[in-house]
Amino acid sequence: MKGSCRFPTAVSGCWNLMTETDKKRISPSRALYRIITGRKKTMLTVLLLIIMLLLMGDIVTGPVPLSLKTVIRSLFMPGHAEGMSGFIIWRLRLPVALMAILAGGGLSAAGAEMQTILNNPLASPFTMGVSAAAGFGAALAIVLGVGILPWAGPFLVPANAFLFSLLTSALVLALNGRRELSSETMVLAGIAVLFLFQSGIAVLEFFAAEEQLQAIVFWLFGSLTKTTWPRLGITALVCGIVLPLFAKEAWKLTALRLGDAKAVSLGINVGHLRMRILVLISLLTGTIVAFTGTIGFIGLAGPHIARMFTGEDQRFFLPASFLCGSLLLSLASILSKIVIPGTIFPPGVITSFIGVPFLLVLLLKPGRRFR
Amino acid sequence: MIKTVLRAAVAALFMLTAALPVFAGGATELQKSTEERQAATPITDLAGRVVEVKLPAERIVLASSRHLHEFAAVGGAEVFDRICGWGSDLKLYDMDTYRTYKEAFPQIDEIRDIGYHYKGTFSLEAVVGLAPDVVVFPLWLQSQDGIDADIEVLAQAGIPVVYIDYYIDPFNHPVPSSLIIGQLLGKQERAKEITDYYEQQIQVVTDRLNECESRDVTAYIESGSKGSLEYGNTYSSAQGLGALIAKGGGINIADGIIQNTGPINPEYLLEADPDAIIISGSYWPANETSMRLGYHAEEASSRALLENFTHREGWKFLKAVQNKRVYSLFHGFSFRIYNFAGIQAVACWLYPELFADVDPAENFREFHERFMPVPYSGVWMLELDD
Repeated sequence: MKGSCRFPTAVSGCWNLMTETDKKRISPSRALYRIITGRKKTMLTVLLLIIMLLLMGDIVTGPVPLSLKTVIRSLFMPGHAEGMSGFIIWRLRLPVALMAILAGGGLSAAGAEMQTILNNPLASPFTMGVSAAAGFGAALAIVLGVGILPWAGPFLVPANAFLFSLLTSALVLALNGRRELSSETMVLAGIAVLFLFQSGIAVLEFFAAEEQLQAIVFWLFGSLTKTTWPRLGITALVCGIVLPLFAKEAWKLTALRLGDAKAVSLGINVGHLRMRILVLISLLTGTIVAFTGTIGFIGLAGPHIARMFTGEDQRFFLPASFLCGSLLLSLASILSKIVIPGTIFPPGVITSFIGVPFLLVLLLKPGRRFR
Repeated sequence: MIKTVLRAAVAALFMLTAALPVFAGGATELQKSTEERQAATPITDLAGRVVEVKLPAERIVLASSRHLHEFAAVGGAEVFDRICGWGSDLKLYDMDTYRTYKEAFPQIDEIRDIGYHYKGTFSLEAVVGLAPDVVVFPLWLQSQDGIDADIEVLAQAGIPVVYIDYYIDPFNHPVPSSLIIGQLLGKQERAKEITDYYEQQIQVVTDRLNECESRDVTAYIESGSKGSLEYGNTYSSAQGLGALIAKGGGINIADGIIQNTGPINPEYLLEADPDAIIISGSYWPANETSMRLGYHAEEASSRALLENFTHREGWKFLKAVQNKRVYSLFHGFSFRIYNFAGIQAVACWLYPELFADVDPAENFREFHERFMPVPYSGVWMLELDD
């Protein structure tokens, strides 16, 4: 627990405040543990509260001026959700605002697990080339049109993007079947896949008509405004399945951070765990990317910010990563509507602008050491 | 702890998803009230959709503000009081037009900017907030992911979307598109007058080319946006400027080489050695050597810019350069209501004898003076000096 060097003073303070009976009942190390976990719980609660505020802020901001009162009444009082303001809040703003929270959180949680299984601070959900693969799938759908997945209808582009994003993990799994891959080999394989699909996109862009080319570029940009309730529902469903499965492995994943050898000595089937988590990461990332395009940086920065609050204990690190990602993208979603009033600035760009300084400040803070 | 948080989050999301039909119900209410307000007329748009629109439309949103030319031609000066919102593309890509129209109609600055699809800045809410009678989408938006969902949302808000097109199919779509604009604005007669004029001008070219036996002139067309120092995109006959060559009776050397659009391999150009070279011009301030044509272009300086292109590496070997058959054509002739002038210019350049009596520049001026609400000015097509 390298981030916890400030805690002993706090502990001695608390220790002094405790009654004699308390001191008899629990040992100092037990008390330290309680204080640390208590702090982490407080931190998570605070993050959750900030996100609630941001969600409200996200629903209140927009080109049509709506007062906080109107928004609250439309959201929480039945019978007030009709008319223009109700339509704008429920059909236009709420899905986008919730998508910001889900997509930001999902990408960040996926990044946290990717950094964990690869034991690499540079990893992100896109390390395995998922974004490029999804981009290739989307571009293919845009260029070839409805022909490739006739049943997909309005979901054609996201469905194809999703299928291709799963291809990346299928590829890694296939490689792994031949010989168990080390995390370094996986990173390299990911980079190779990334270049492969980027070249694929370039080839498609070459053949694309001008308007298709623009559509591809726009898709790659990343955007929350394509969100509809069904798209949000699917994303929520996938988050609802994948995140508890991450949580189930929390102890094993925490142990993995001690190094493969130690994890194995604790009785963990490291190779198997790594592959299982990788599939879950691709599922989660693929779904989000299919609906939003590439929103970069959150998957890298979210987990690092979270780690500095909670350390490596997955029980806290995972939810904190989700919340930090949600916070970043929700904030970006608000700013994207304020930067140029009336229009929408691509949120993917804003996440980097607000995330980078935040991350750098935290990294450079004295007493914090980056793993 | 973590399980509780997750469970709560999942439960909340499921509840939101489950509540979906309730929101949809609210939307139907909204739609009904719009229908009651006024009887609507069905319009078949350029995507083949049948859309009910309340006519004449008094509040109009243009997803692409560059459709201003077409709406100004059909609607005249008063159209700017009926366009309540439009895309940002005019200011982004066509400052010349913007400046020209702003001088004549200062109120265009008051038109609400709704963002632009290709920049990812389009705001659906801004459109809904304007409560327009109709939203006009360019047909090229159809390839965007999520566009159908946007149309669906607008429909639920009681706002119809109509597709028009002057770009994807610049020969078959302009006439029906202009007629739709006439319907929307309640100016059917004016629209018919324009399309009649347009068809007659196109016919001048097609009739003569049909009679002509040897149509063997080869041509290369390039977007002058990158300037003389870098090769800009060329176009196959399937797209944009390339279609002008096809319609003007020429053989496009990019066909079979370039799928839709992209820069040509300079070596291939030397090998193909086309009879004529056409560089498109517009106002591209980002690049100093870019070809300049349009409302604010001046003949002498534009000709100097065109001259620069002939000094490219190896171009002195091209017969088009040796024979001074290098031309410049306004870029917008590939996607505006008056694209007939571009087709005529190409036909005249490729087959000077066949079209000796046709004066495309003069025909364009006539069209502009008759139908456009701003004064004609500038240079729109150009040849090298003899």
